[in-house]
Amino acid sequence: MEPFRFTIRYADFNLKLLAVDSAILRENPEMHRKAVEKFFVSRFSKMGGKVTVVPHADSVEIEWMPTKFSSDKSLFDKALELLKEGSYEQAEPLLIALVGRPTCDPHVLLNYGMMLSDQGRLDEAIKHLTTATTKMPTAADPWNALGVAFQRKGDRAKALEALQRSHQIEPGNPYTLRNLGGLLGESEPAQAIEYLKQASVLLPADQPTQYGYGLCLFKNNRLEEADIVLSKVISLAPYTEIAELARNLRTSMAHKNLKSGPAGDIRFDAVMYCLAAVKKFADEGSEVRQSVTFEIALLGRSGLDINDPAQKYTLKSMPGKFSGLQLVSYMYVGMRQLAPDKDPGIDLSKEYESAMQLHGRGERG
Amino acid sequence: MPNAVERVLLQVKQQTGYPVSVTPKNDLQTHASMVTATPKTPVHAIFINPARAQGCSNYLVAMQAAMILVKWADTRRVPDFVLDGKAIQSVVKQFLSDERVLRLPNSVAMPYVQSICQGLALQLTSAPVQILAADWCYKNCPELEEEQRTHVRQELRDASACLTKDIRMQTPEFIFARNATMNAAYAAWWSALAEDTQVLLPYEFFGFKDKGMELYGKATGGFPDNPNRYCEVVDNWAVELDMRDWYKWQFRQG
Repeated sequence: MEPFRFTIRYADFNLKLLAVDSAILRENPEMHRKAVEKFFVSRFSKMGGKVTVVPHADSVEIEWMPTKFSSDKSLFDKALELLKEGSYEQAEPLLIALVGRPTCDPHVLLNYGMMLSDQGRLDEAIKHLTTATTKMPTAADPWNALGVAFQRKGDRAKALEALQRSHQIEPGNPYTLRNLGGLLGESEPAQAIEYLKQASVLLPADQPTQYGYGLCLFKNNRLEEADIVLSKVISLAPYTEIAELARNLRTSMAHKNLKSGPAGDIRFDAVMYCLAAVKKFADEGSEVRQSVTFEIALLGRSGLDINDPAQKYTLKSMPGKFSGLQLVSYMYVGMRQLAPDKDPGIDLSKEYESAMQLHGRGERG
Repeated sequence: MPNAVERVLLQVKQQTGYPVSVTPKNDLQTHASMVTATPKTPVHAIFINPARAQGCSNYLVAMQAAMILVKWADTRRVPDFVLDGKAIQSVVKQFLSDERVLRLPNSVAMPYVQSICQGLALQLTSAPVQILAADWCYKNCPELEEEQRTHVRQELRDASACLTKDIRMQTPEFIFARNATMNAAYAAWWSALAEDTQVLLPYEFFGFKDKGMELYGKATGGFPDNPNRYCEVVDNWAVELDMRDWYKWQFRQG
C-alpha cells in the first residue's frame, strides 16, 4: 500500500475538529499550529502506522503509512464505520487522506460530502457532492445528498431538481422519498404526503422520517393519524429535539381537540375535575398541592392522553386511578395557585373559574 | 430509550429508593441539570435541553443519573455543599481591590466579583463529581461512548475559552488560576482515558498542565467502593487550591 500524502493549510483546517476553543487558537498562532499537527498525529497513530508531519509557514505536510489497513478499501470501510457511529471527528482525517488520492473512489466523495453537509459546511459539501454526481451520474444517492445540501443552503430550485433526478433514477429510494417529501411538504403538503408515507413504511425506525410524515399529516388536517405517528416519534428516542417537536405538536393538537367539543367553549367534565382539585387542595393543604402538582407535571412530560376517558394513570402522591384530563385539571388548579405567572401549557381558565364559583357557592351554602 | 440509560435509571431507583423523571426543557441554560428527590418531591428530576443536547442526549441522562449515584452513595448521609457566607464575603472584599477588578466601573465590580467567586465554588463542587460520574459512565455504559466523546470534547472546548485574553485581563489571578487548574484536571482525565492528548495543549501553553494533572491524580479511583469519595475529592482539591474555608458540608437523610 502506498503511503497517504497530503498538505493542508492551517487556515483551511476545520477548527471544530479540535477540543479547543477557536478564539484561543486565533489568539495564539503557535498553539493553533501545534493543535492541528497533534490532531493528525494522534488520529493516525491511533489507527496504527508511521506518521510524519512537516510544518511549513502556513501549511502542514502529512505522510501516513498505515500498518493495520491492507488497502484503501479497508480504510474506507473503517471511515464508514466511524461515520455510522456518528464519530465525524475520527472519520474526517481518514476521509481527508482518501480524498487526497489521485484515483479517489467517488463513494468517498459522496460520504465525505454528506458528512460535511450534516455539519453545515455546505460549500465544501456541494463541491464534493457535485463531483460525486459527475462520476456516478446514474446513482440516486449522490443526487439525493446534493439535493439536501442545496436545500440546507436555501437554494430550493436546485434542491428540487437534484432530488427529482434522484427519484427518477430510483423511485423506491427511502431517503430520496423522505427528502423530496420534506422539501415539498414545506409549501405543498398535499403533494408531499405520498412520498412521506412511502418513506415512513421503508424507514420505520428513522425518527426524522416519522416526524416528517406526522407533521405532513398534521398540515393536511389528518389529526388522528398524525397523533399516532407522532407518538411513535417520541417513543423512538424520547430526549431528542425532534421528540420535543413531536411532543409540542401533539400538545397543540390535544388542546385543539379539547376546545372543539360539542359543548362549545367549556368542558363540564374538566370543571368537575377542577372543582375536586380545588376542594382537595383546600382541605389537605399546600404540601399535598405541591407534591400532586409536581408529580403530574413530571408525568405529563411523557404525554398524558387527555382525549381518552379511561382511568389509566396512577400517582405516588394521590391514591386512585385517573384519566388524562382529570390529571391535567388537577395540575392546572395546582399551578394556578402555586405559580399563577407560569404557563401551565393548557388553557382551562374558564373551567377553573367555573369551579371556583361552584366551590364558593358550596362554602356559602 | 437505550438499555444503558434504562439500566442507570433503574440503578438510581434501587440505590436511592426514588424513581427518576427525565424532562426535556427548552429554556434550560445548560445542557442538562438535576434536582434530587426529597420526601416532599419524591422523584429525582433530570432536565435536558434537547437543542443543546443534540447527539448526546442519552449520555447526558446517564451522566446526570450517575451523578446522583455518586452523591447518594450513602443514602443515610447525603452531602450538601454549603458556602460559608463569612469566608466568601472576606474573599470578595479582597478581590475588590485586585488591579483587574479596579479597572471595572464601581457599579459592576461587586456583582462581578460575587458571581465569579460563586462560580469558582460551584466548579469546586461540580468538577470532581463530574469526573467520578463520567469515569463511571465510560466503564459502565460502553454503548454511550461515542455520545460521551462528543459531549466531553464540547465541554473541553467551552472550558478552554476561559483562557482567552479578555478573560485573563479581567479575572483576578487567584480565580483565573484555580478555574484553569480545575479545567486542566478535567482535560487530564479525558486525555488519559481517551488518549486525546491535544486537549491538554492550551493548559500546557499557559502553564496549568502539571497542576491539573496533580488534581486529576487526586480524583482517580475510589468510586463506587468508597461512599464518601465525592466529599473526599472535593476536600482534597480544596486544600490544594487553598479554598478549604470557603464551604462546609451538611448531611441529610436521603
